[in-house]
Amino acid sequence: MTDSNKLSRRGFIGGAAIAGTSATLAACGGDDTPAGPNPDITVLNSLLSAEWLAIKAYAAGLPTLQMPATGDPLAANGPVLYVIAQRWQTQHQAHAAALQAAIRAIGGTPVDENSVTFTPPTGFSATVRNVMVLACNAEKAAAIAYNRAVKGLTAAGNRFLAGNIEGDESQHFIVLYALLQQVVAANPSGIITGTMDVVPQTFVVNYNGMQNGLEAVPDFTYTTA
Amino acid sequence: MSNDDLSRRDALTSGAAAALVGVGAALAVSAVTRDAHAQNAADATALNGLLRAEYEAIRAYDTAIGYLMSPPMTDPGASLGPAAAAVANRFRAQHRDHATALIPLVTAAGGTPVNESTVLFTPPAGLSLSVSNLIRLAANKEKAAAIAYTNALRTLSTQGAAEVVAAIGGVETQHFIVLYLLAKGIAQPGMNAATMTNAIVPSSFVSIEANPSASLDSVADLAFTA
Repeated sequence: MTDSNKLSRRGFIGGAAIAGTSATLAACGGDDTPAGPNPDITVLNSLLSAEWLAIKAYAAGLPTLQMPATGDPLAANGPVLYVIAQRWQTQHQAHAAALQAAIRAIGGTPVDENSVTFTPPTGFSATVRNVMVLACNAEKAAAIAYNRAVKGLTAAGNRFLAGNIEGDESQHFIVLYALLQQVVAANPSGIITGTMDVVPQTFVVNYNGMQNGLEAVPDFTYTTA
Repeated sequence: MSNDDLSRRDALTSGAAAALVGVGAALAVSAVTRDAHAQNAADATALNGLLRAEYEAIRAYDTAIGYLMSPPMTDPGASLGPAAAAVANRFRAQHRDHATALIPLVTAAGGTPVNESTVLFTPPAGLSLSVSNLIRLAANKEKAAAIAYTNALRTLSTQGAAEVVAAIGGVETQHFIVLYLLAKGIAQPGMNAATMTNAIVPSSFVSIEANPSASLDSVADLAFTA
């Protein structure tokens, strides 16, 4: 064997060893996904279950808003709230669709909508205010759940999706909370035509190539003095 | 060839192989470490960008609050000024909390937190001071912040940093929607606006496990009425 042959064989073996070791290390620690089912599937499926539940809760509350009982103190607000609640229910459906796609993309099976049932909490009577309270508490819980999920999800793309939805549910929550605490009130002259602007988008950042994030909401212009 | 020769050759071969694996592992670890350093640097840059925006927001609110507290009576929105000032005060304090939460994240990622004194707020061109314009300005800025925080989640490498960033981003969206509805004339201050300012976006974070008292976790569920 010549010296150059020795070097070249050593180089080949060494290179193979390095490549093999690198591949092993990359498989072990270079990404966040361990062997076996992707752990993000379980987290995303729990969020999906919550979305199905929210959709069913809104479905249960909508008739009360649409036709409040006679004598309901907030009966006059029912129809406007009905339109807003319908819209938010649609936003939850879009969240569910995004979660389903994310679960499938990592090899999981999305939890079936029919496996989730909504049961009104104890002490709940169907009034406009109580429907708002129910939604407010649920949206708060959802925002918190999404934030906790961000901490638990291993893939940045899934954390982005969870945070993107969290920002929307946070808006649902604060609108209801501020109204119920009476720190803000609907402006009678603006609310009727402004229902589409009460949480105007489904996501914070445009998602899946659609104009469905706050990026699609134009900046306000300034008026001259 | 004797058995001694064979075992010596085996020993040399396995020793060389072990050395090569060792070299390979060291080089691979070095590459992983290099990648980690690069990722940390990217995290630090992203987090510092968010910190800078928080300082800018604080300065912008400083500017706005001075005007909102006592707008001239010629301002058509003058009557809304004090309520808007209270909201702005609250939001500014929450931005301060956000900045405080971001600083250790920047440091943990190996960065140097941007110095607050180096950050200035420059009002956008064409902005004349009025209650309406300042609410619009704040809404625009909060929207941009919400988008920036959410986008940061695409690249942040650690779950801990992502948790805090999502917790802040969710609050910026709350700031945005309150201001947006006021600016659009869809909402107006309610009967408790002056006395329950803390209920206008009640917590600085959505949910940080290590800081539940500053998170929505500590906001009690509202009760049903009979």
